[in-house]
Amino acid sequence: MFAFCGRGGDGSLTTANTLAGIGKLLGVCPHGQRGVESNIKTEPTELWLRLASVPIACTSGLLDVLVAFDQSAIEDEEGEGRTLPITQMRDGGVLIYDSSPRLLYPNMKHELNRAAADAILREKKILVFGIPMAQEIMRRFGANAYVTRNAVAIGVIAELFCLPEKACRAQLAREHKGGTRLEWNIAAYEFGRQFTREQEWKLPGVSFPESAGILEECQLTLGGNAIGLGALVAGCRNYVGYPITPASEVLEYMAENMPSPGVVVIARSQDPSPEEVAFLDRIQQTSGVLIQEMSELMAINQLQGAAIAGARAMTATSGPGFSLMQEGLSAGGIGEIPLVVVLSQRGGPGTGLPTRTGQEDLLFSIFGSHGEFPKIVISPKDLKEAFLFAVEMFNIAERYQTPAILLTEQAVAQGLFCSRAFPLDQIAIDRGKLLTQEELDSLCASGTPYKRYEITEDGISRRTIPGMRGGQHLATTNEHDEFGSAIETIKNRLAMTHKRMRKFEVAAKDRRLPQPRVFGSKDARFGFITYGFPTNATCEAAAHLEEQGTPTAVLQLRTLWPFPEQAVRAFLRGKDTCFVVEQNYTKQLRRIIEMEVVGPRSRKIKSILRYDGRPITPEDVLEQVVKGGLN
Amino acid sequence: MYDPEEQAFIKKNTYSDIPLTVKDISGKESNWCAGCGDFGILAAYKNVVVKLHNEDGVPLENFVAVGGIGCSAKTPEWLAKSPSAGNMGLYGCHTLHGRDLSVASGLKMTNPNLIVVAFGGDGNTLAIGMSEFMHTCRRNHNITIVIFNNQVYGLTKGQASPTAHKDLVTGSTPRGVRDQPVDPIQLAIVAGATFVARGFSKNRKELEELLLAAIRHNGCSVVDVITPCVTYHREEGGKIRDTAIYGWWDEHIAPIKDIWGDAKQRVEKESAAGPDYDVTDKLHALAVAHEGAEGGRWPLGLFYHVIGVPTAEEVVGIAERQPDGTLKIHAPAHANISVQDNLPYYRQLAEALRYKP
Repeated sequence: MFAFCGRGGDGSLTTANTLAGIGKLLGVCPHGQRGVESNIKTEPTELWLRLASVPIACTSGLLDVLVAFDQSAIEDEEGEGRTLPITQMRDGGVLIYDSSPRLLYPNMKHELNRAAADAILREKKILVFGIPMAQEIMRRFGANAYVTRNAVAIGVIAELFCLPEKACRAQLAREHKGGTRLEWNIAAYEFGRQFTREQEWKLPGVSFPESAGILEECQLTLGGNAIGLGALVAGCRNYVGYPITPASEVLEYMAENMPSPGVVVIARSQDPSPEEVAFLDRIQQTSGVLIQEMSELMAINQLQGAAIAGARAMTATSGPGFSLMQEGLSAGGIGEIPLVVVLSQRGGPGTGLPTRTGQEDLLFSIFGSHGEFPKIVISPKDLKEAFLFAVEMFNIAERYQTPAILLTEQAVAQGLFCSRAFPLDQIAIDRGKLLTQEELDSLCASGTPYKRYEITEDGISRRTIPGMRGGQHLATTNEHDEFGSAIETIKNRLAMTHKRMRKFEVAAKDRRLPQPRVFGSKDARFGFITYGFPTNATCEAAAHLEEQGTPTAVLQLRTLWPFPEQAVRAFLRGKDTCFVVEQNYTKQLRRIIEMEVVGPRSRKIKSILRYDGRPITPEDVLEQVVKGGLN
Repeated sequence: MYDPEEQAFIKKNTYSDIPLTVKDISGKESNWCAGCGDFGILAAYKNVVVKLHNEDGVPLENFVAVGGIGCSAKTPEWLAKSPSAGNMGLYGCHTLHGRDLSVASGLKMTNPNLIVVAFGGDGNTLAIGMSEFMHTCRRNHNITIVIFNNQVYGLTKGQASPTAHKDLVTGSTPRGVRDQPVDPIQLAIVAGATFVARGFSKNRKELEELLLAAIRHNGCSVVDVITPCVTYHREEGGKIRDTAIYGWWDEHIAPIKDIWGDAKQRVEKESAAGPDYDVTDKLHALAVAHEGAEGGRWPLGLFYHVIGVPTAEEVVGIAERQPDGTLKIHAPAHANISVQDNLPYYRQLAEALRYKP
């Protein structure tokens, strides 16, 4: 487990990426998390990188190696009360820092003063390796070479872990395509290695993970990209979004990869081969549009238009944008419009912690928006689920003709994950009761007038889209009759309310919605209930408890609304204690469990919470289990 | 008034062989106040639909009427299929307050074959929906925006709208409007709309011509329509009201050609022997609109009309201009989304999200 710390612009992310890249060349699976402030430069920044033989989807709270590019890793100079990365080191870990003198370079704010952390360094028996990264690089190549100082840290790590030269050099060459940049980086890296050898630094007790030979079969990317790919495979051909952290990854992925007729036109002008022409034809037949809208208000309403027109359409946002979208979601509820919205949670309220993770919007995603209408909320824990659930969102939204929300969080959307290959050929598309022109023609021929909001047993009506002959109707935000015409009679109001809510009852029994999953010992008397990203850390903690002799089970809720009440009831049966693990203060998931299953005074249920904007770790879970007691 | 070349994007369709009548699209009876100007706009639009169907061959099912919220924004309701009226009806969307233009652009950007016309009042479009209005014009979406301009909010019973003139007394401005009014004509031109006109609901024939040309125009069309509110628009301390408000309007409007006389002095390039009013000249259009707004006379007619500016749909490539001037449509709403058919592309994308040694 590695952490790279410095100020924004110091290259912590670059260093983490380089090491992850070397790891990949050696067949090791990386998992990365960003701990950055909402700024581009200067504020303290932490990057967490965990390397393992097999895919792991959470960071560990115990650092083996901490790389400090400035004082911020070991001292809270501004007195902000930050939790220092140094306090998260395991006993006997390694601190690697830049020991160049102060004010050597204007951007480099501080020389590292290790005295500030002396007590903790001694207590944890931390090995401290200081190396004059900036000083050496600038002495050889001048002030401009300052930015390559982080490659020195790569050299030190490479030497400590005996990483093969070839892989390290290959990775650096990959990142810096030749020229002086590459030359300086290689020199910095070599200096790191050589200095480590000369000082005879060693790292006892930790070795670099071995390759299990599975990396090459794996998907390796950010969660946000997997959501984007899932959407495209589901047939999303209209993405509308407004930039917001941490949902911009989805916007950018879609911008890059949405099949576009414009791209085809350019490619055609380049004299393609017959195979390429066939490929381009196919792209043109499946082409869509990406629109960067001017606000979330415009995004959600543009989405309505696209969905009414029959396109599979999606938007992704975070808390503030989701707040702005509430009216539009509600309109989609009464208009029975299949809206697909990705909500990538971040710390709130207000602007809150824009770049950090949280699960503060669970209740908001379920109960937000005015009025009552069926809404479906599902949440993935990792890369593969992000992909699969993104696909499923479209099927759900069209099957029930209502807003569907993919509830995720910064740690998933912006986290780097490894997972087994996505099962592309197993993807099924279900457009629900969307009529074809032939079906509509035979309906019209039978003399039955088409009714967009026809009252049916399952509450779902047959859907047509503009351009279909005979399917004319009014898609409306007013209470309406079966044709869509505004009407306020008591009889109609009740019939329409019941019709819409019947869809929710049907969805609650729909086994095609992502079902809850139980990990660990089925007959355990001790368990966890969680959803989303914390599932990963919880499962790791559970495995640890199991190893120590406590049979433990974890229930991951994947569809959150309609709430899987029966699964939770079944899981709780036979449990003495059950911790609900979530990343918020108000115990939102626990409140739903209390509301739907156990009532407010159950002693069986306890909470494990983390709401400081940082991704929860297995150590967090274990620590609070110890505090809360197993019984 | 319109360029015949622009008709090329409207395809002939065999289904449209049966001539349409106004009755075929007249739905539920509207619930507007007797004497409301909105009736004139609705009637004009119905005639326009009939004409576009019977003359241009636009299939009935390709029309989509979009409304925001307000008295005027109910227009799609009166065009929709209604069992009591026994009509065929138009597709319609009755959306949220101020958001109709986003819905309209969403429809158009996923199916450019549709004829999308948005109906909204001055409050809907120029207050809460101002951002949507400006950006829809800016992107030159090929849709038609009809603004029902009466200076007041009707459905909430008589508050001042952003187009209300100074000192107008309304429910929300008992001591008169203090703010500057907005001029949708100047805004639309500056924002980038490519067809900008103003009609008067009472002058049905001229309005019909403007609406027809606006819809036939390949680009963003804005038609600001003066539509007197006989219930809540009261002038001179309430002395002028009811249908008398039509008389007040008559004194506050003038054809563009009348105002141009004063306005052209503002246009630098004008000389004694210079060109007369040119609808393709932004400065001419702005000068007239400005002159009218300053002088308290609302100019009526076609202000501005340029052709050949790429629409939003052309820019993203879903409406592809062919050598013969027609547009080839690739509607995302009708994209082939079969996983099987697209597997080679999806594999390529999934491959890109893998580790490559």
